[in-house]
Amino acid sequence: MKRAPLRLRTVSLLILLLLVFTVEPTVARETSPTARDTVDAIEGDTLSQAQHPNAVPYRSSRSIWAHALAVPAYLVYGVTRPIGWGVKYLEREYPALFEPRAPVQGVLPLVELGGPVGVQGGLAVFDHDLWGLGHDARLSFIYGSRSRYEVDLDYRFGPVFGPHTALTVNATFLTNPERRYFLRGNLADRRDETRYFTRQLSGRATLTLQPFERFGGNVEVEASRIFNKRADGNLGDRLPVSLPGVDRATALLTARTGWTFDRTGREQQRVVRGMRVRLEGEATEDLSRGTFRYVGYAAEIQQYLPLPFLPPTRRLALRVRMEKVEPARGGAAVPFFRLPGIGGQTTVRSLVFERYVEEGALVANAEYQYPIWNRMDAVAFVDAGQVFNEFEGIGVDRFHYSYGGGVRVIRGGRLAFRFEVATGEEGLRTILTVNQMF
Amino acid sequence: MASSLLRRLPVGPGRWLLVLVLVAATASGCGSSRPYTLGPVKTEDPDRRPIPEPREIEQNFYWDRVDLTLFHQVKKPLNLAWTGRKIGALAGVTDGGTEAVNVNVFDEPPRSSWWEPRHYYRPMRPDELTVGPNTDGRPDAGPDTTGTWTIWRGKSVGAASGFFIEDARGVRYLLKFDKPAYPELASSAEVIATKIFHAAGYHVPENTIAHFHPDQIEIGEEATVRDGNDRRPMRPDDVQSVLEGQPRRADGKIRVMASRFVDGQVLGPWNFRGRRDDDPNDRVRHEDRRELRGLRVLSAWLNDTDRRAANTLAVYTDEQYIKHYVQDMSSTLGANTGAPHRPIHGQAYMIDHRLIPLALVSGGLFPFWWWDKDGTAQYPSVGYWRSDVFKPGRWVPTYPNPAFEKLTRRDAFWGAKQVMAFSDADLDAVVDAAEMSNPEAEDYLLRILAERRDMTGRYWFHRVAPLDRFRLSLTTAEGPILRFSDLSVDGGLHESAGTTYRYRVRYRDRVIAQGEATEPVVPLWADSRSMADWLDDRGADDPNRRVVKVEIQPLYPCDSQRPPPVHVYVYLPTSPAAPPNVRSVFDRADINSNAARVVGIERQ
Repeated sequence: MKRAPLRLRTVSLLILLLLVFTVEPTVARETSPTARDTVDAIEGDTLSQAQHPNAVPYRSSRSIWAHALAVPAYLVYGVTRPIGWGVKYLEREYPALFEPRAPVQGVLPLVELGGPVGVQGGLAVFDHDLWGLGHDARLSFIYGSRSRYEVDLDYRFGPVFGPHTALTVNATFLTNPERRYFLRGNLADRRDETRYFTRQLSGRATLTLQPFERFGGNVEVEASRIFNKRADGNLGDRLPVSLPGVDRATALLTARTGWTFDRTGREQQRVVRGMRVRLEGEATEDLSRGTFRYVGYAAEIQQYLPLPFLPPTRRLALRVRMEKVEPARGGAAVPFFRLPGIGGQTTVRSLVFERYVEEGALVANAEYQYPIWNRMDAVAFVDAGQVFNEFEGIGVDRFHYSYGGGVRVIRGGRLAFRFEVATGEEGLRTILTVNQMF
Repeated sequence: MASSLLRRLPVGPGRWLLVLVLVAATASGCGSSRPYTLGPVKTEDPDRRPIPEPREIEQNFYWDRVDLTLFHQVKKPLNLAWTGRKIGALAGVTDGGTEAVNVNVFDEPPRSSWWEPRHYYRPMRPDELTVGPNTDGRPDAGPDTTGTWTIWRGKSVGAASGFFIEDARGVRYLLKFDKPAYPELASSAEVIATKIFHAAGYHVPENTIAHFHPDQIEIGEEATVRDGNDRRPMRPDDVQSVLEGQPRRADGKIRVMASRFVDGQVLGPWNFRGRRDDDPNDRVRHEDRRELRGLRVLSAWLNDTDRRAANTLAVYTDEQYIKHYVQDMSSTLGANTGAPHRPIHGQAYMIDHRLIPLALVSGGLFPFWWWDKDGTAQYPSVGYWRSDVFKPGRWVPTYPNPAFEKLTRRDAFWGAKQVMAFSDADLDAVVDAAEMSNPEAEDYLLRILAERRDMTGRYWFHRVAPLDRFRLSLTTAEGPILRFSDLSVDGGLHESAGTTYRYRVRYRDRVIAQGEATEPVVPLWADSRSMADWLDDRGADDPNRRVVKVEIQPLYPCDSQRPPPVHVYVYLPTSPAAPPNVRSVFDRADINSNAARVVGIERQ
């Protein structure tokens, strides 16, 4: 680095020395013995020597130099005051917003980074006691651009089939003009990226059952209508029209179930020990042409291990998940948009959503989780994942890796949000979401 | 010359860092006045002059917390003077902090609209402590319990439930109820803390325990209560919901904490930083006031975790000045408003900007020392109130308090001597005012209060020599003698037997006498003569040349830690008049200028 000329440095030092000797009335008025009550020290410039010190007030003031040193702080102050006015206005006009208990009805802002469509924002309107019957309704709208958005309606009836059950219906509409799809499965490189337009409408009914404290699951029926076509532009042109599901509207009916056996234990509102096993299965029928008749299944094991010699809230969280889909009962193929993939917030985090896609996906995650505050955890993680068509294709050398760290906020024992930064073979990704990793 | 000086500085960013430190260090250390005065001592701050009616300031509970937790913490290092001082402190060049502005040569804040000297300076009798701020002079002062209490508003802010009433005499009170699961908890804590803060010199409302029969309550025609975002007329079921579950005495009466409305026009809270721009009397930035910084030590003693702007009150008095109150002591001792304190209270901020980064970089090794503590209240009426977890130097309120953050050792010593002024008998009298029904619980509360008091004294008196109340006696036989009190010995923290005081007397930087005294007494003799005669021999006529500096350091037996010496300036005029016979410096606003006397103190 080139050094400043000597003259410039001399002038700089002189200015600093000037600062040193003139800054005294600034901070010094607050700090030094000048503030003491010797008659000639207090208000020395104006005080008559005959005046009793009790007639002279103490005073702190700052010189121009003190103000100069504090300019960056003043900027922060100035920028943050409007936020304060806003909060005070809300507190005055809408005090119920600040009640310590969660409101029954309300509106929540939504922000998501690193999801299927990158950066999105929106609103969720909710009512936890709709009609006064304890029904729970939530309508959310999340917006990425004019042609990329998602509307989601959830309605939970509560325990309609007994105390340990819940019935939820859900409807989703989403449109995305440039969703990614990578060709060549686990070998895909950047040149294999293609884009397609998708518009999806789906309705779902889910019955949740919790027959035992540690064992529960759900049964779900979903009907969806999905229209896909090549996206505009070069990346869209790369999408092979021969892919099953392109340039057509597909109506699918899916029956799905998933069951979890949970032997985990908590401490300080965190899962710190034990094992959780989850099994999932689904069968899908193509209602439009009968082409896409397939089944899917998945198994997942999570293990929490407290570290030795440290309090149990310092723990390793491990997960292995394998999922697979395949045509069945005379089906010809699995639609390309229903293939399992890796990448995104919950699998291999440094990769974009569905970076690698094939008929099977294997993901392994290891996280070191430790508390950094009462309701905050830090996490350091390593992810590994690969996709495959046949189980024989799984290989140690085929894994894609990701590693990184982040911070999570817990509220009432559940994740409130997480912020993570992941890096790997394709660079850095930032994740800000309310979705659980596992 | 400057350029050669610059060449000698280290190369690279370190050069500018060093310069920044020098700037801040010099800025912190500049000052040319003498640390004593030969004139009258300043004991009053004239901040009670009539001013035009100031505006009302809106109370807010949430922005203040966010601002102080987040933006204020970001702002601090961006003030380069602050950053320079901190770097300087790390380098050992500066002490890192700035001293309070409003202290006189005896290191005392003056009487003002914020504070006035009380128990430490003129010990109050136990019955005076029990009465505390009650203007009618009765310990059980409070609403008139013989007549009707008319509710004129439901309480809508703050965590405790209650309402505002007017008694039969037309005096207005805020009534605050204990939670039924913790009877007497918050009300006892509030009354005890009120009496203590009052005795320590702060302006506080009259908070008393009262008992009333529900039949006495009437809802006023104008009474409203908040319902969601709106207010609506108060209904009988609103009163019922507050009284429901409240324990009743045999005569059907319910216990309540009654806080009398202060005289004057309420202007809202005052802040622990900055100044009011509409109060010409408000000249000292609040975070630089000794009595507000020192309040941290009292708050730590009492575990007053909610000491923030929302729990203060500025009142425009009939005399047309702003009087500053501290109020809402329901989060003190073992109480966190209605419920017991939690183990984190007093140990860390709710969101701690100092500890979270440490925990983050520690990789899991950060010890959350309050997590393992059993938060169960031993007595429901006492709550979570312990001494074994108390760390006087590390104590913090629930959210950062700008004045508390700027506490220096001198501020802390001042606070600690206010704390140590309470004897066991004093505390007994104060706790009596809470009218607790369980004697065991009361004993426990009292024991912890005394233990925390002693821990406070022990901690801060190790860091600043606990020598105070310096006074001079002058007799023909003995000559001038400097006497003082050792607050550590007086407070029972150290035995007087074995305690010695190493002293050194300097005249114009020359040591003219030294020795070690076994009593808190320093004879002012030099070369076998009275020091006044010694000065006469040198023809010292200028009054400033008749001031000697006495450095005194206490040495306690079985205690290797020695506080730094305190410097005392003594004026020995020619043909001196008798030294002033006063109890404290606050009685020294006017003195005979020819009296031999202590004229200043410097604490290191």
